[in-house]
Amino acid sequence: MVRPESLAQQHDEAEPHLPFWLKSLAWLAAGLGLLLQALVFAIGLHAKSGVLVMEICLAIQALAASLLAFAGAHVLPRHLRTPLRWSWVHLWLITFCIPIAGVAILLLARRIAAAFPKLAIDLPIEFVVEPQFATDLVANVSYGRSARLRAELKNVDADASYRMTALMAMQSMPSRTVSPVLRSMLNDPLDDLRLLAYGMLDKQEKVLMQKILLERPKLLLPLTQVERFAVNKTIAALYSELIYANLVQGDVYRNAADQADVYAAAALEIEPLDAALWRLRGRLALVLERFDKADQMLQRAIACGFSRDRLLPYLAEAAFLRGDYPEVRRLMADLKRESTPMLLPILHYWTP
Amino acid sequence: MTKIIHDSLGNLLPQAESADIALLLEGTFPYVSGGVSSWVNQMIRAFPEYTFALCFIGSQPKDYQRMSYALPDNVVHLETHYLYDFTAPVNKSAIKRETGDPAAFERSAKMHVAMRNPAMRGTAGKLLQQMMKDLRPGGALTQDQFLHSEASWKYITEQYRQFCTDPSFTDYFWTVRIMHDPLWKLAMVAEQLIPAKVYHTVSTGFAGFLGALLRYRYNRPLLVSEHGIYTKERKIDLFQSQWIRDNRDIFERDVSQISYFRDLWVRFFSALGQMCYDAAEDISALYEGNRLRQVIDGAPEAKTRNIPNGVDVRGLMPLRAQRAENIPKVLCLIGRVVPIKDIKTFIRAMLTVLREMPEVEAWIAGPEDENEDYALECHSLVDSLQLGEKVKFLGFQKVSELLPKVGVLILSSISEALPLVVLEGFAAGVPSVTTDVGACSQLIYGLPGEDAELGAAGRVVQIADPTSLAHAALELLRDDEAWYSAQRAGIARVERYYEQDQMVATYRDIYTRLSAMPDLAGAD
Repeated sequence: MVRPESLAQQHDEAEPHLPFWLKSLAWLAAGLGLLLQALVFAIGLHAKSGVLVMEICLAIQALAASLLAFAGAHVLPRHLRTPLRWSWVHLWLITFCIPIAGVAILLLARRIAAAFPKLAIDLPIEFVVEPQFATDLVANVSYGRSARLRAELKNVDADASYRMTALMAMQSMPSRTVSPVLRSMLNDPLDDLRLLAYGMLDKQEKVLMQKILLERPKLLLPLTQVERFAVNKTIAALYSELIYANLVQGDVYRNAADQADVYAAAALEIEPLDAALWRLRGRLALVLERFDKADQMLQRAIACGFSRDRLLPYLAEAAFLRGDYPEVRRLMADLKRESTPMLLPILHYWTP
Repeated sequence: MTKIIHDSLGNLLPQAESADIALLLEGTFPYVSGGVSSWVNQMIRAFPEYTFALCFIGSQPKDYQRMSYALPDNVVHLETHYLYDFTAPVNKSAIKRETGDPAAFERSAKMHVAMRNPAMRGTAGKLLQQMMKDLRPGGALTQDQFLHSEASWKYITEQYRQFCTDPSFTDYFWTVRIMHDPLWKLAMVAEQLIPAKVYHTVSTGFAGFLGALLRYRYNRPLLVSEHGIYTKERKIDLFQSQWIRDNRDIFERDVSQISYFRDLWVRFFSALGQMCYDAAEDISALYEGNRLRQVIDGAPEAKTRNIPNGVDVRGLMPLRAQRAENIPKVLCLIGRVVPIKDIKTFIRAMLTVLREMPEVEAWIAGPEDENEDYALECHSLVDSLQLGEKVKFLGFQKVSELLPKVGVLILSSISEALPLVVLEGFAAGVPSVTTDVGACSQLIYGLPGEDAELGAAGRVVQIADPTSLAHAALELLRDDEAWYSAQRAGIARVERYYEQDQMVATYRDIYTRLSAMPDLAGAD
């Protein structure tokens, strides 16, 4: 909510400035008008009464009112002198009928008017074209917040506390998005920022590792096949989450992928028809650059009931990495039916 | 005359009536092992001509069961104080209703206003000096008045309405109480500590605040020797801590604003640091980066100086002769198994090292009892990476026995100041691979000029980067010429710039000067 005072303030700030000469002229006219009105008073007090004196006084009073109306019409805020013609008449009448005090009443009225909220119509607001929701951009837009925070973080000239706060704000964002940014902050010149980025990364990784460490000893217990399957599947998912969230690098990345594959394979030995696990193993084989195996496992996932459409991009990726480009084109043609805006440029390239 | 008493845990505590130097120690020597503790031990033993009183400040007695170091003979007095050792709840009827001294609360209010305004830093320091008398037992603003007076309630509620952006008054009220409570405990400590000619604190924080209280209470000089930067480390802890409440709901929460209570704690520790710096006669840092940080945090530049750590090079020199002819294929991390040492990055780096050089072994030599959960995580990581045969946890080891068997010393810490262990390694002829923290780059590559011309005494890599750490270590292990060159540079650097005698001589000058000073101007 914006308070009325601030609206009035905005309005006055929006008032166009008068040229100096016109402003000076208006104030000069006001001064002269008041002087003439004082003269009328003086004549009324000291001169003998008579028609001529009355006429002279009225004429001087009319001239004074004209000068004051001219001044008022230029000095008063715009919204108090529209429509212009009637505001001139109003100003002239009030200063003509009430000498001297008329000006005081006008100033008082101006103060009172300033205290009232302005009508929205007075505000410098314009109508703009209604925005359209761009559905095709949904997948690409990072909605500003993340981009702004990244920009603030990367700016080494920005105030340290400002950058620290930006980093803190990233805690509320998903690990997958934040981890690469945090990793890039590990060589920041500011010690505090490095430590905080490290702490955040470490915390995310620790949460997953602790879950893994909690699950693994369960496999040493006497379990039913269903329970053993569930534990193996959970551990496989946790290791693959380390990869998905960008929390492991280099050889540790490969190790996590290997471990995920080992536990997924153990789970599949118990339940060979679990489509999600075949898909997971297919994706891990891609990560581990075992492209033929990746293809086989993804096909197994489809055979076990996993939606082929959802696996087409991975199958195409495996074919591409194998160098089987005709297969990529064929898969892309199938994918075209289910195309999403993000994939459109790739589809245009492969299936002109 | 020194008496000996036993504390409730059976530790021997010498007691004296006075000492030359009172060391103010927060969570370190003699109960906790580590770099700072080793330095304190080294310093006390280097000055047999002075008697030392140790004032140890900890959180709770259960965290400090036994001493990690034997007390040197010139420690004539040791007392321990625990800031979060809350006594059992008192009988409610024993709590007296207090009105509170309005003038004292007015002084406190003025000081808090000044603290909020960075331009009024100097004023805040002066106001605190004036308030020191109020905090003493029997003063105008005692702990009872803070806890139970109407004036205190009125002030806290006013401050909440005026400044707090968190909706919970209950949390605000208790945060303010818990935050400020230790200050009165420290005021009590200051009242009863034995007289000393010089007060020497090895950190800011609570020990630093106690130093400021003592400085103004007894008008004797305060020396601050910081290893890490306490305020910075606290800030990092606070930013990551889970216990600080944030009660803002989804409409009130601005993700780009940290919670009010977190900010309040950060400002509290910054203020403690500022008060310590204001009260100090001399402020030392281990290297230029930390000195500049002290100045940014409010230390008057003219009082600051660098005094780098030094090691007993002559004592370690014979270890070079004990080395085998060939470079041992052993990477060793010497340090406590705690998160700040980032042992996990070293373990992860071993995956890469062993893939390329399977004969290498990794040793982790350091106590594991300080953070047992973390130690367990490290062991589990070794198991999960199937490195059990090659990564060995040795526990606490004597460096003199360990260093001759080591090929490259590894320091994977995420935060350090000027690590003694790297200097000890140099003196014993072992090059290091360290992370780019604290003064490590200065130790490995030297400061620009003659120091840098000595060459690289190892390699420096980014923190939390196992691949780079592994490659840097492999580079030295594979290339004898590079290893010997690094060894030569390390030996030359430690002998020329980091000899213990140089550090001791600098402190001897400071102790002599400060001890001989007449009493300083008081706070009144």
